[in-house]
Amino acid sequence: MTPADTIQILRSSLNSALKGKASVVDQVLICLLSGGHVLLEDMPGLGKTTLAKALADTIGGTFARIQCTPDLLPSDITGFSIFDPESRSFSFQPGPVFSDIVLVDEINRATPRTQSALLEAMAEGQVTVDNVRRNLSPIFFVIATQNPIDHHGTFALPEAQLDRFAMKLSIGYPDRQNEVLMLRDQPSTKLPRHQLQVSVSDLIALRSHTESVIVTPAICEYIVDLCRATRTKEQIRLGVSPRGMLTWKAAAQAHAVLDDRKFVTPDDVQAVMFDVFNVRLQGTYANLHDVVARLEHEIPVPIESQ
Amino acid sequence: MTGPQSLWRLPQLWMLLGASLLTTHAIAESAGTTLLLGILGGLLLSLAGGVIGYLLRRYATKVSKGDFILVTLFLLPVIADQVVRMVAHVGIGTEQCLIVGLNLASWWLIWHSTDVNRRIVMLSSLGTGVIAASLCQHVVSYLYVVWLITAIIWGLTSEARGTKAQRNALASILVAVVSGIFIVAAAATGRLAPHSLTGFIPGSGGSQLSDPFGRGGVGNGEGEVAATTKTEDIGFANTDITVESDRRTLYDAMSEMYGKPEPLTKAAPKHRKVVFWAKEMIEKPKTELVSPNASKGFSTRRGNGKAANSVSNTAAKALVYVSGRTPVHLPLTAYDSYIGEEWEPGRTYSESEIMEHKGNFWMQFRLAQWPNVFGAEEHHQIKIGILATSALPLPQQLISLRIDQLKEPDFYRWTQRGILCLDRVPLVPSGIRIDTVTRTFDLDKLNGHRLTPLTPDNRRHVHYRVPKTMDARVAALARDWTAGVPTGWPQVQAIINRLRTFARHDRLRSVPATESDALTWFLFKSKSGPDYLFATAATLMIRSLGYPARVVNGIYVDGKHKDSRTGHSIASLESLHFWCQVETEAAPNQECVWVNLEPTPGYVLASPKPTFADMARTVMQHSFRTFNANKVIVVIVGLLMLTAYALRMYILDALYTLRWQLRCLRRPNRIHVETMCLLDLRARIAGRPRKAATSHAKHFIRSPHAVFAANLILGIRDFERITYGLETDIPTVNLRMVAWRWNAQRLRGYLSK
Repeated sequence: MTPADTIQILRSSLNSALKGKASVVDQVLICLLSGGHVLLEDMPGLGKTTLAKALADTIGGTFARIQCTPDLLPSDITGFSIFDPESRSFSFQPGPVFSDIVLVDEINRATPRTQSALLEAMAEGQVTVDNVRRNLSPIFFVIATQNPIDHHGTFALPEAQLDRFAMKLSIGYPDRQNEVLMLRDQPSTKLPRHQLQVSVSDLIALRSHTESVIVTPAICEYIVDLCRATRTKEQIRLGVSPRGMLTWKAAAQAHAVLDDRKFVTPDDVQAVMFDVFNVRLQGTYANLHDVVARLEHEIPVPIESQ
Repeated sequence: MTGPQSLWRLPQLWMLLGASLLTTHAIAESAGTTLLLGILGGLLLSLAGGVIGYLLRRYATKVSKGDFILVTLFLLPVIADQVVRMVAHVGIGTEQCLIVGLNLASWWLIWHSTDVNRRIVMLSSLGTGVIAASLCQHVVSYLYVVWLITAIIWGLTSEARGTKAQRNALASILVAVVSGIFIVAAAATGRLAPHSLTGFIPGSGGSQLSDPFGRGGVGNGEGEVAATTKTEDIGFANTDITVESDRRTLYDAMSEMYGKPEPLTKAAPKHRKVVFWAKEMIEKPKTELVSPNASKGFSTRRGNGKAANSVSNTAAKALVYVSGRTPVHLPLTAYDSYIGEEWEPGRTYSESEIMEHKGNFWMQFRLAQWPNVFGAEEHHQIKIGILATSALPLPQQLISLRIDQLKEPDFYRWTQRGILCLDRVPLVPSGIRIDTVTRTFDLDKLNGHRLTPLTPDNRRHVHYRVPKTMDARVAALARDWTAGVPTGWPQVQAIINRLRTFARHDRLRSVPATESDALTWFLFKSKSGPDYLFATAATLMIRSLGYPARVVNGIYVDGKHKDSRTGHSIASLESLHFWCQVETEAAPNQECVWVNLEPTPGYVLASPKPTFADMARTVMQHSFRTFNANKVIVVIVGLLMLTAYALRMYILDALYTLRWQLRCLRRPNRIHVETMCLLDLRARIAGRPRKAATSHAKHFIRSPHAVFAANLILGIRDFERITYGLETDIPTVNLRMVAWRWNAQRLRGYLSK
């Protein structure tokens, strides 16, 4: 299966699950292909779980859902060892983090200790339990959610932890036509089943293909110039870090793959700029769109290879 | 592409480069260095600024806001100039240092190319360019100004759409008009623009404009400024110290210039003690020539005058120094009576309340109420050199006067009507400086004014008196020259104009001893002679027609000899001159004044100082005359220019395409870049410029599936594959199709959808 075919299958499957949100689907796919994770900040009932489950079903992977509460322990995420009296040994019970697709609902409700356990898994791709290092799924992908309005009893993610996410997205309410379609096509609340279409190996190959997308030195300099510009603006207290820069580059590569190209253009860099900034920029600005527009305007796009 | 290469596409960089070249050219011109040094200096300034800006941008990243760097760069030339002055005793004006500093700071800003910084650079380039242009005279400076204007218009019209483009177009016109005024003013008059536009744009202390809002002069070298409102800004700061014995009385000067009055008697040698710096006494033998007729009169019968090439060094022996518009007549003695062949000076005249102190040591004169017969007020500064005189050499029609800190009217006295002197002081001290504000008659407008009429009461007045011994042919000649001419000023003008063509001026020619009458010899035999014979003839002929006239002797400053450093006009012995004056009245029973007339060919009266409207009218008249004389060429050129303007898009497009072809021929592997550059240029002239931060795909591909734009889309996609995909085997057919099919006209239609 070619990368284009894989992407086409993923797109159609996710778009059928989440109607009228093609851009969100693409952004999620960008995060998936770039090896990053996504933070969804949205109201309840907009389709976050549906999206995650659809994605898991499409790739035939395992899906786990973690509902964060203040009493959630790190071991509830990573897993734990229990003693088997018959074999008189400890056996490891893997936690939900060992699934392919993990939906972490209301991550800001978990305690910082629990958050760090998950975020460490996201960063390392492995967990250490009882001094034993255990690798996670090669396509380990986290969709974390948080409620934008209810802050009671929550523990906000610190900036350093936010930087581990590739993007922060918002699904938003569907438009009227799509809501009507939802009601007409789904008379019950039962979620549809999706057929297995893309294998894990296909996804791994797609990720590998994404990493091979060409990024010329001029494009690298362009990304660097933009990142450095974020660090000198008065309104921005915390700019894009080098890790964020690498994430940005990977996201731009994924965007190029979605466009069926083998190289990154300045448009790819600009297309993912807002979402990459959204999760990691901190400052006193009123509207991030203005910041992005100003930065886009300041740095000229490269028109030569180097 | 970012970094240094992209800066060359910024119009603001070209503005700054033009402003830097213009700045150093102005400095080079004022310092008197060669043009080549000025150009090299400009390039060096730009290079230094660019290198400093680049290095600071690259290494001084910790200084995020750059305020310290900006201030340092701005003040660096001022500090450096002070250091160089102390060490090498050379330097430039402070205002020049400041505009150099502004340029340096702008070079730093251009390296941090943000929207705000580019606007600041544009404004600073415009400001420093206007200041520098006002200091230049050389024709190369006009090229720099045109360069600057072009770059500014380019900058204003690029990347602008809709109403913003219209506003920027208006701003461009304003820039072009204001800059063009400087060019036209300097080119039309051959002088520095502020001097040409005096009254409209006050210069930096050197415009001689009495402006209540004008600031004090900042210097034009070593203290030589012409500001007139503050005593501390007055010019002639370097006073030449003269030795008393070198001073020449007017009598001595005229004797040296025109020859000794006959007969001559040599007196015994005398010794004169000379004081030098009051510290040492030296004895200097000096032979004085004494004439038995050594009165204050002026004889028209004299010995041989001094040839021009024997006049000594004018710079060291100047009678007076004059700053201001030339030519100018400075009367010193008026002669009323012609007795025998000698002019007798007028009687001493005094008038109370001639002036009052109006503040800042300026003495204001009572002015006759004249209708509109004068030009604009003008300023002169006169410094006494070696001339020993009691009369003050002042232009006519004084409005106000200042001498050092004299503020009492009692210090002044009219020695004759129209000739002022210092009371109680036998000679005006050497080195003293005099500021004057005067006005000049417009003789053409005087035609309607009445000359002081001849009445029974004044028939015997000295100014109407013709010697009884005067040859009748003189009066007959005067009547002949004025036959059919209306009475009054027209007749006077007729006499003057005719005399200027009737005889030839020969300063060295003197009346032969065998001739009985100097005037008759001059008018009917020789028809050539020195200026006093012209003045004599004019005065007596005008009197014979019944108008009051007199001969005046003084200094004629024509401005041909100037001090090389200060630019002031030097009046040497050759500047001594005779002319005549006619009395006229502003209105019946109003005060009468003497009006200068110049009968000697080669000498001209000062025309009224033109107002700005006069200058504009002159330029327009000159333009109209030029147009009239070259109608066909002008019409053809005009039609060509109109056609070129109408077809400017196509012409520019063709030029850009030619440029693209040449560049692709030279470097075929860059055809993708050159094609996109061509597309950018065409989009700009089509009024749809691409912003540097917008990719070609985003700007030019409006609908990815538009069939009519297929080759454009393919061309841009090929560019992306080559540039960002590093593909090397892409055929160039699509790129060439873009270059040949998508001209500016087509792009404009496509991008406006």
